[in-house]
Amino acid sequence: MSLKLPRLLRGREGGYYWFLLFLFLFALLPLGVVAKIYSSFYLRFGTELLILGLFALSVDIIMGYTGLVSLGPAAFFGIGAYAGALTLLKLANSIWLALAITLVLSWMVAWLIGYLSIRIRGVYFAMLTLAFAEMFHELAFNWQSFTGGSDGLTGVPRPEIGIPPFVLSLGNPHVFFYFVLVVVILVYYGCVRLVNSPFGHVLQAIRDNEERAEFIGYDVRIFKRRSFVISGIIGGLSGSLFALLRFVDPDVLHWFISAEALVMNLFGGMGTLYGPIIGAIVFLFSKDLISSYTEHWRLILGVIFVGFVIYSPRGIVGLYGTFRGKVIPVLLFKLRRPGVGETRKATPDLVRDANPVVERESSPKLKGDLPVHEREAGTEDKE
Amino acid sequence: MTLKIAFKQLLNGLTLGLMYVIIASGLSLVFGLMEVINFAHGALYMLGAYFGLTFFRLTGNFWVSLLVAPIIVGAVGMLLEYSTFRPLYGRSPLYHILLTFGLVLVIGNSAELVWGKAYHIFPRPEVFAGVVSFLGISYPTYRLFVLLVGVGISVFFWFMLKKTRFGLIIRAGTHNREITSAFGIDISRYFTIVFGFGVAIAGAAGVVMAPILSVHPHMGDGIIITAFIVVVVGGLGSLSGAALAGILIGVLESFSVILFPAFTGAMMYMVMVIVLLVRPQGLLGVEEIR
Repeated sequence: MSLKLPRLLRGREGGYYWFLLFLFLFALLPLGVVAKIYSSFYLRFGTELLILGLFALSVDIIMGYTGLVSLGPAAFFGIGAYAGALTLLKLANSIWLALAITLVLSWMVAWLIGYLSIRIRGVYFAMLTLAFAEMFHELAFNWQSFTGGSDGLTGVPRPEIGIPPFVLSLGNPHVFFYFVLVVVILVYYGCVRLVNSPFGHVLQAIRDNEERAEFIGYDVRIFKRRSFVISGIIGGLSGSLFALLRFVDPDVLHWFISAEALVMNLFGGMGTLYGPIIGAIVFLFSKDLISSYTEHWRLILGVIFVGFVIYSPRGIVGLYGTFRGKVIPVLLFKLRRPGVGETRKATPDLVRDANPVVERESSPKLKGDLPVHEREAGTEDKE
Repeated sequence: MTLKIAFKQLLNGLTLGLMYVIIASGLSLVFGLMEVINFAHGALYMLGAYFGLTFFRLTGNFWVSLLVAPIIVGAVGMLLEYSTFRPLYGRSPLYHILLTFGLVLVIGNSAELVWGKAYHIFPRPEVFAGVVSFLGISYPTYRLFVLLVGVGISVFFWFMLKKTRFGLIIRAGTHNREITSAFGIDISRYFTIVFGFGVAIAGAAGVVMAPILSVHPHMGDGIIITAFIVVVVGGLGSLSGAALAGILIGVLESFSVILFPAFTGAMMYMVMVIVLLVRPQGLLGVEEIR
């Protein structure tokens, strides 16, 4: 007798919902602490995994689904962290107000950065986003009276949620864990719906072939900007949750945070939504594990990372596909030198390499109907 | 700010700017030919300083280390290009960003493993230990030497690129890789050489800068961002643009240290934002923005 899976768990979009189930399993994590199987450190660690997974997810929207490589996601993470912490410190001890201010502020900043940067493409876009993030970093560093400068903000109060008499304090690690988990599940589910909506399909069309999407009649710039804003808002949200987990200092705006988000995406497998969260989990776990043995964890992690870039650009979620009878063709493809007629564009092939699902989605007929050199003629000449 | 201080800061700015120029030139050259965005460039600059320090301690001769360290860094660079960059050509440039980010971790931590985390002082060579006085100011001789090295390397770069057959091939490859290979030139061999050359020059910059700054595993982290900004402000792939932007940013930086110290860090980003928004292809860039 064959077991029939529910409709949602089957087919092309099944993976999204499998991971949703996995997220629900996360709810069991605090039980281990209660049963004293592991220390409460792991509860905190689990909370951190979820928050950084949410941040990595925000990067996936813009990079994996829209094909824009932003080097400045730390801007939103940091703005969220500062907005959350400052609201709680200076305005009112309410998580809802803190989150509302964070969302509005990151929406406005993302719109502005998006408005200015999306006018240009490729490396220039990447550098411009990096520049904006670094300016916020400098601002946080130098605006001593407001942001606390390099000391950061400490003593952020932990607000309470609920309606009296049923009040829970987010200062309790269990309560905070579940709060974060609920947020992550809601956002993840929202993103699944988003990327499978008509809007999400336009984003993926832009990623796969921007000119074509434009010819169909979409205003590519507006769609990119919307995607950038959505990514920024989620990034801000993750930052303000992070502020409640730890203290806030200018490091939350450092470009290293952006780089780590990219690493998590690549590790896990971008363009899948769950890949980046898995990437965040694996990245932080291996960082924690390796650094408990040697202080040179960066070396080991760097080597593993380089190996992933070269041999498995689809990340961990793509490993299965890489090994399933495909190892040799994949290696052959990767080791091929660039030859005549083999041109490339700034982003579209990025996720085509990285994501087998997408490859199936986009019609091969559309892509292959022109020879490569004709398809991209005129865009490759540099001067 | 008196005129003397202004003059001194101008010289400081020029020194700094020329170092940016030679680091950015290597970066720009590699980008122009291979379209590779090399974030590990700063790590190799750091490696140059360490090799320079090691050879200086071994031989006691500054000139030997200035000569040998860049050669070793160049060799390391060629090895890296051959083993890690090569499999990625033909894929999206993003993978090179990610790869080189991984290499930054590996190189930085290897340096920590070999030389330790501590800051090392690289003594100034005896010949340049003093100060010279001219036009009413006294200025450290070594900084003038750095200025000269910067000018020398830039001129050498220009000469190599514009006046030699080697440079001709590189320019042709930058312009159109396919047609260059159609002429029977094995362009991928030039990739390795150009990469080695670019990082060797960064290594040389590491050696000359070491006595001014100090040698530590993170010395490349900050300069790589600056070098990228120089490349982007000047115009990707344009060497004269990189030269102009490098000097501009170096001078602006050394003046803003005195005039608006709080904004020094943000200054170059502001310059970049303004330039990119007004002239997206960079100051002297000619490339159409895709």
